[in-house]
Amino acid sequence: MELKELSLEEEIEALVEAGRYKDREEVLKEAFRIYKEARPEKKITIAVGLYEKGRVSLARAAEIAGTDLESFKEILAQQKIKAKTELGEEEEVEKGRALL
Amino acid sequence: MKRAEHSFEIIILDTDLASAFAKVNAITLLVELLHEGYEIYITPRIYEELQVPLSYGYDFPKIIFEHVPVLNLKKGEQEEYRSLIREFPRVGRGELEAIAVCKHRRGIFASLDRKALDIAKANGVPVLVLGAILLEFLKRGLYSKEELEVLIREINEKDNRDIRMEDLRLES
Repeated sequence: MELKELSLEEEIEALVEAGRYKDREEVLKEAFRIYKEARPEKKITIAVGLYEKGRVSLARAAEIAGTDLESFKEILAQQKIKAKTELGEEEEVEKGRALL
Repeated sequence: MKRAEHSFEIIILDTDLASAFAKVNAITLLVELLHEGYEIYITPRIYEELQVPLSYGYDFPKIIFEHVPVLNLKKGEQEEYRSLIREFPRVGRGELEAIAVCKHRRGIFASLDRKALDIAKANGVPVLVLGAILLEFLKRGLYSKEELEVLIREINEKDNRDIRMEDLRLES
């Protein structure tokens, strides 16, 4: 008797073949959306990770985390992560000063 | 001091920059510096972002609201904002709203965030970076070098940042 569990791929394939989803990507998107709803704390992990890697701005990271900017900065502080602060490249600084 | 000749008339402060200066009671000096030739604003979404900390006990947004009015978006700017949201999912709504307004009104976008500054520049919007502000504080005698060190230390402490005085090009 086959005791091995069905693979995730087989189950996803069954959903797609049943016509409930357009493709595998659509199944995964919905699964991930439901996962984030069920585990809201994971949204913070995702947001912090994206912010640390420089993939999103601080404000966008706060939105992804589902918090406001100040709360997100507190989350970063709790994790000993500083908010990145751009002083500007030399050319930006000079252009900025010329505007003032 | 009269500003250089150009056609820019407004500066929009991003939430992060306005918050950092407000937390260390430096928003009035910031406005004093920038008001020499510009109208200074925040956008409605930035106002909303600042309302949140106010609602749970922070006082710093009050001084921003006192000194920096909200600039409401015109129809074309609202459309631009919605377009930017679709095109640039890696920056926040407040940042994009500010960039949309700057794009339409030949404004300058002031922010502490690299991603937001880059997207402003990609949209042809001139940016005002922290380095320029701090060096102009010094040049115009609004702060001494020692006072600037204190300001930076306070921002770092109160806004969870890591700005380093040595990264400012003081000789320029």
